[in-house]
Amino acid sequence: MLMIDWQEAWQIMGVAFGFTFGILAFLSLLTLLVSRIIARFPGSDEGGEKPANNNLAAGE
Amino acid sequence: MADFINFGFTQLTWANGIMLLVGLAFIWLAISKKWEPYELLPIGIGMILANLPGTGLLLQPQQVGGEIGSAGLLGIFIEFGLLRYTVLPQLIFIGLGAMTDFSPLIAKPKLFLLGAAAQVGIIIAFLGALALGHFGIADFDLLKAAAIGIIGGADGPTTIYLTSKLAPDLMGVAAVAAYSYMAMVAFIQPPIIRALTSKKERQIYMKSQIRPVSRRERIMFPIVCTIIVVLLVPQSGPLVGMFMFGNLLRESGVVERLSVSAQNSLINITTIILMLSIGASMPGELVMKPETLLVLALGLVAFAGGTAGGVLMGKLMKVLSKEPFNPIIGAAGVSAVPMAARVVQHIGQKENPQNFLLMYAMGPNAAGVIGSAVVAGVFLSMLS
Repeated sequence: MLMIDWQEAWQIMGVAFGFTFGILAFLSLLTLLVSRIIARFPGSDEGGEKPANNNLAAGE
Repeated sequence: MADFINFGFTQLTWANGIMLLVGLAFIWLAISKKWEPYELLPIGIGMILANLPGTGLLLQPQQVGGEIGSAGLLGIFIEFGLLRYTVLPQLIFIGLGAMTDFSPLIAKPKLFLLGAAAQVGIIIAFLGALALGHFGIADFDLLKAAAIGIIGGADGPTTIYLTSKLAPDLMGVAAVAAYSYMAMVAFIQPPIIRALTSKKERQIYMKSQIRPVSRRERIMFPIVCTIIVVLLVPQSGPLVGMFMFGNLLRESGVVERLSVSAQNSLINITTIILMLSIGASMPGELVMKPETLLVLALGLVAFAGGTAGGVLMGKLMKVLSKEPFNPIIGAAGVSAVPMAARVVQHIGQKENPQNFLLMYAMGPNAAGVIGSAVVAGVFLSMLS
């Protein structure tokens, strides 16, 4: 039987999940914000727009 | 002469024998069933080579004191590619980034939340492993529990990266669990999705086109993500940084040759070396323990928990969303790219033939890769 430091375990668990959730939520807001800012800038957008379903990505 | 003929057989243990059979089974699954063949085939061969005695292939330079000509090829791969410098998973991430299209995620940023919720599987397995350690059922401490939990991220390179740093003894088993369950996503996820959603929810129609994403957005995304994520969790930098670098090669549009190389030559060569090394890191005496079965069981729990977390978050978003929102796309939050997204597409279309959920599911799928790399970074910063 191992002596598990449950206080540390709960802390790690809380930070790991909470931090990840927080970062991804922040990225979500930031993506929205950056998209809106970019949309306000005039100028060329070489390569143009593409629909958001052109690729199935990755593979691992 | 007799010694020479019996050399290999006399050293073969029952554990080696079982691992030889497992290696053969992996090769059979890869060739006959086409289950993750790019991973399972070299892993199977690696397992066989690791369990044939007397080859010297597994001797690592450190073990032979750096004596010239003494280390074996697989030992060199394992020591330099995984244990000492961990370069192989990071190289794989460059290729994965170059193959990933973030457009669905950029078009619908709220899909990030599904990728975040699916990381709950990692936490469930982490706590499960600690409970087994606490009750004396297995020898799982905090480091091993984190290494087992990350299997729930459903991301092979992240699993390999973290386990090689926190619990190298578990690296082979954890990687095999991750890749095997990824191959079985089509069997693992549907019952969980059906158990957590009603037929009516699964039939919810989502319009078949999301807004077009400009080139500028696609270029900005990997740059902004890298800076923000790495500033917040520096230990995730080796994974997130390489992933986003690969993506920038793709989206910049000015380094076509590099992008093509990352998507093909780089990832293919690295996959061969990495998967051979993973198979080779599973000699019988290391794997044939009751703990291995527990790791595999916890990995399955992690996968199932991640799927459930994503779907439950999908249900919450369905309630909060102004537009129709099909909660099953949450299941794609476990990275398993693109298999989990395909499962969602398959179920969605089966329930409502007009539904085309694949592009929506690719969003949480990509977010899940970022999410599991962040969790790995947090584990590393708190445990290493």
